[in-house]
Amino acid sequence: MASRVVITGLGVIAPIGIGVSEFWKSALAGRSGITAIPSLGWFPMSGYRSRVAGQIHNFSPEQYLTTMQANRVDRYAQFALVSSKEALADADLNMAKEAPHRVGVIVGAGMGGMVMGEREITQLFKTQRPHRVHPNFIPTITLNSASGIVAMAHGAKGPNLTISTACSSSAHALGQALQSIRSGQADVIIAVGADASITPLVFAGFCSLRALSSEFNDAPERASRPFDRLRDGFVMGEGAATLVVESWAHAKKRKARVYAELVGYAATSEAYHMVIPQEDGQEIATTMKIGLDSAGIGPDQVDYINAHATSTTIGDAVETKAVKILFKNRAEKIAISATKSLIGHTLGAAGAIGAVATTLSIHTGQIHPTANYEDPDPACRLDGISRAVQERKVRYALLNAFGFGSNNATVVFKKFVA
Amino acid sequence: MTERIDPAVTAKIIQALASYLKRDPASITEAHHLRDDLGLDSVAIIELLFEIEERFKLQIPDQDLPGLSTVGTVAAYVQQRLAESKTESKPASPKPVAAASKSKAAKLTKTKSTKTTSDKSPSTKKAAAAKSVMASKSKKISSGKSGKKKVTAR
Repeated sequence: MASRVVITGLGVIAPIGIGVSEFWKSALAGRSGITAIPSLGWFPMSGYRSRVAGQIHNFSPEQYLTTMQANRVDRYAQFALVSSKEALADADLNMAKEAPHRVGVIVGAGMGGMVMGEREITQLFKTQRPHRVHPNFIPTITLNSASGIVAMAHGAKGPNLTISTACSSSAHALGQALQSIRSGQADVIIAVGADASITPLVFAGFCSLRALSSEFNDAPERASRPFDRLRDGFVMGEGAATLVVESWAHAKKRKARVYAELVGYAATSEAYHMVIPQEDGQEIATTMKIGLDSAGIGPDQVDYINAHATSTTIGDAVETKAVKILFKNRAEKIAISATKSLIGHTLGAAGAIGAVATTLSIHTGQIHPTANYEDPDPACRLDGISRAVQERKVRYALLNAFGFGSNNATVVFKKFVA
Repeated sequence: MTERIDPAVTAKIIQALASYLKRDPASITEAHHLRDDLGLDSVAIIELLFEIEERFKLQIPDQDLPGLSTVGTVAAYVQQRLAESKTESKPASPKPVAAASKSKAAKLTKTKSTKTTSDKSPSTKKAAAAKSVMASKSKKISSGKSGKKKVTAR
């Protein structure tokens, strides 16, 4: 019989807080982490249609990391190190007592080391001095730099993987962690999501794609408004989250505190369009259904959905449609929240940060508000979406994440009962 | 040609190291071995040299890397390269540069091996630094012979 898999440690670094306790306090307060950004470093924002983002302000890596760790990797991987350090401490996982090859790291990252990437590309094309390309450029932009450095920081010698499926990356990282442990490949997986690419080129790219909100430059905290009638695109965010995932047998043996159980996972492709979901919602409904099937439960058992809900016009409506298709009458009874209403869309980190929120909802019985859900779009109206905290005993919860490239993921969580 | 290493050159190198390592420049001396004393791994050394190339407007050929193991040898090497670039007006073709660098590198490597052991105790640091100066001197002569190459391909 496949082993049960539990979540025993959490770490997060997000625009509304560094560390789980600050993050969760802000989330329950419905506090927005979105601010105006006058510039990206020295790069002026005046030419951009969108000028708001969910940034982590005043982050000094040295406060959390050794100089060598901080120097060696890009911002997104620094975030991954910070959230992982917290999660391992939270899990009280002492690596000295673990068999190192039984502890793995799976990171979801969508963009990777774009801070250095953009800087070096700009320099090279401007100066045409190839010998001035930084020696650490390749190891930094290689997309597995975060999974590598996290393993090095903790001596985790098991499976070391990076999943890059754009905005669903770290939901898959968590799902693959579940698979890895169930298959017996590892006892513990440090599952991470990280991205930090609020950089001139990436930001411009999302602007050009007309994906970002541009109507709320003067009221940044109102810009990310999933399911609301006035929503006009997502807001870029940055951050990371880590979940320590382990077999129940392993957790029990070391008397670990368990937050929640992971019980199901769906990975699908719509095989449809690079950036647009199938508008009838069938594919997303099917993805969630596959997730429920893998957990061995029916739609009537779900209490909470941490929605992908990015605040784009099409995306939120399609996800709502999918919820109605799959859950029918129960759709109105399920509590739904959009973590992106608070922190924006953290791309590859979104799944993991949403997973931390989901885990805490199960653990605490509180569901954080969906900020700015003021005038429900008729196409997105569901009773379970609220601007207030919802108190709810959550037995089963879903985490949705959808990525460019026609990629969908659903992860199923359960309240843990030994 | 100078016999001693210009303190300004050493200071600049120590400055680069200090900012890379985020530590007090006063805690770094010429005798420090980049790997054994300052904890730089091979990639970190390459990053440091990358920084030094920028600060001194130099290009350091791959062949010269093995000799650059202590703060002192780096300083001596940089000083020599700066001196060369002053005495030579015209950049030469890259081939002879490589050849000359190789000979320099061989010398420097030898110096390093004698030094690595002496670096460890603070009391021998002065001696080690002096040795490195001498090494740079002798190397200078040899490179003076092989002469004409400056890497000024910028």
